[in-house]
Amino acid sequence: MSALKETKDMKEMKEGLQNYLLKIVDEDQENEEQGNDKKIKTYIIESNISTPEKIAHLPKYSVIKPTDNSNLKIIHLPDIPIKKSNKEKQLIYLDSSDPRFWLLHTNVGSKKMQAFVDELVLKNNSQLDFSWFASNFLENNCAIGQGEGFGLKYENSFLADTNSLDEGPLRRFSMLFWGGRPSDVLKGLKGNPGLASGVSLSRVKQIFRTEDGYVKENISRDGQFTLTKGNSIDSHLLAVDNIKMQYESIIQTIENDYRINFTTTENGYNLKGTYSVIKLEKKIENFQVFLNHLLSGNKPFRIFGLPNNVSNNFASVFAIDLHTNHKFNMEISENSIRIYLYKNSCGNVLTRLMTNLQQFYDSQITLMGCDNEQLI
Amino acid sequence: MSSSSNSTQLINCLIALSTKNPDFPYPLWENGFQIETIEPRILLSDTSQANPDIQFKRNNDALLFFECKDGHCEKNQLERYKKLTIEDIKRHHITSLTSPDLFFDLVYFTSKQKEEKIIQSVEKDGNPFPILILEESAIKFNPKSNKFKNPLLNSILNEIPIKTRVPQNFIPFMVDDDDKTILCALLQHFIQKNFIIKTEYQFTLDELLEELFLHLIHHYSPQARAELKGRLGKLLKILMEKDEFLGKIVRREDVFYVMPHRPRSFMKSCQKLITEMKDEIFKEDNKEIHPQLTFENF
Repeated sequence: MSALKETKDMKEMKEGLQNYLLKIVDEDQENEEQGNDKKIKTYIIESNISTPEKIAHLPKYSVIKPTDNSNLKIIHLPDIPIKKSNKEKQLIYLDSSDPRFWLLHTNVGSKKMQAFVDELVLKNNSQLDFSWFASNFLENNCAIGQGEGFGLKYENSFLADTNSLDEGPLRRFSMLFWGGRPSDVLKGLKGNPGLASGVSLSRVKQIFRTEDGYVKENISRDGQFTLTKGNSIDSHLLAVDNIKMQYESIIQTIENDYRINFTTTENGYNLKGTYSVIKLEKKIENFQVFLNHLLSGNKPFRIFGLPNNVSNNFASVFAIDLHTNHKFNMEISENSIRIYLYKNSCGNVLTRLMTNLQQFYDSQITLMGCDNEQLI
Repeated sequence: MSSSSNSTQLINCLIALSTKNPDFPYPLWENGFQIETIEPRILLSDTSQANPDIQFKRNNDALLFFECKDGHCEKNQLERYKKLTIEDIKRHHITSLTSPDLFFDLVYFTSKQKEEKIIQSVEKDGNPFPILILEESAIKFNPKSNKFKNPLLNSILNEIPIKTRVPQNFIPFMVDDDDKTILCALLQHFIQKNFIIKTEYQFTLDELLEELFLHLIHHYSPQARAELKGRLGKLLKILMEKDEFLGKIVRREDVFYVMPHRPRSFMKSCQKLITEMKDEIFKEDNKEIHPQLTFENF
């Protein structure tokens, strides 16, 4: 199998990826859903730092190298976990053409790549984050071609007693569906009141066709694209860009319209922006458990919070987004969460919050803006 | 249960009424009223100063001032508002409106609990201004008070039903909030600094004041700033004596130092302190150092 090679510019990178794609498809015809370790993967990484040179915590032993194109870097992964017989280079192309949303293209195996990205992103103050594709974003915004299937993964981690064997609220729900009419299947599941809160998409599979060819993509909630089959790397790059732009548009809307910004005037202060609201379909039953879990600072929410004015159904929270260390505030009540981002807050905190609340609390929550506009 | 002070609630309520938002009524915004200034200062012809809490503008000719009250209506302040004229407003260029027909309304805004105290001023001191009351499920015009000059305001502010809580975090805290609320903001600030600054975070009380009360501090009077500094100093002193923070927050002369902490342990200490803190802990201290401040102190 041909490996990905160091390249000097984007054109060479693209050619290398295209050659690799054609080769891997030939080798892997019968194994579309397995062996993702050989597949091309692209991650969309949300960045709050100006250039890759300023990455604060590059995972151990990995090395970042420049190319002739200042927007393209090559990251070499350490050789240690690689079998001695495997002489192929383990590398990642880092495309920072869009300074806010970087692309990592690679064929590094899933586990190793996930470990790398986790280490890159999840360190406090990394200023880097995943692109968080909420369940309804995956369903609506990632439907760029023909639906081929989906994965669901839900685990209610806001229960007071997680070990109880009694049949109460839905605790876990996961399934993989590959086949025809996935949207009909999804609709059927959502129509079941006992399951609806657990219908949280973890990934969708789409066939995307262009005049250049086609690609089959697995698109995951953490902003990862796995190209499972296809013949056109341009189609893959177009699919990624298409969804990236939709995601970016949501982040821009949040940061333009849903951040509170006071500006000084000659005689006082003006205010621009407002809060957004997460609408909870399912009432918060145990407020203390909910607060403790959400505000602990732990993964995946990465929100630390000091609750004030706490009652059985309300808390005003002074919070820190551990991704960027920006302050923001929340008003949590049993039916909704108001989120007040301030001047420099990162909009990605909202997509992270939404995606993870959908996975770990209730898949039916929505992020609402003004005029009843559903932001996510 | 601790809560945002009435003043903070009232100010946030007015901001919500005039800001398009997802879940709270905003009739002022719908009818073209925009916040022009928070805490405008208007020098009157007799050299005294009027200092309402928020100023709104509409079209090119209408201004609306709100005075939020968390207590009774001071006669001295009322007299100043009575003297306020359109000429004072024009002379000091406090508005961007340019119409020769510029006019203004001024309204008192208070909570249901304080309604009686404000209403007394109508009969006792001849308060000529409209009075709005924030109740649990509505904002209502008090019929004992005078109507607005602007007929539009009489119709849109007569009664505004409220179905959700009043938003509290446009401005999360102000000077007359309780200690726990200000402490939350203080610890939130320290945690942020602990992440950003790898070495110790050092500050004077003046610097802390600037960073913490960024949104409004420049409009506070020297007396109010001094009181605030005293309050922050007292809170820091209490923090320094807490087991969790011994040696971690220190003072050398006028400079305070928050030593670099392991983030996880620092966050845990802060959370523990806030969670376990009874709202009454500092109450006795408050009485000594912090008689409830109201807007008119500023």
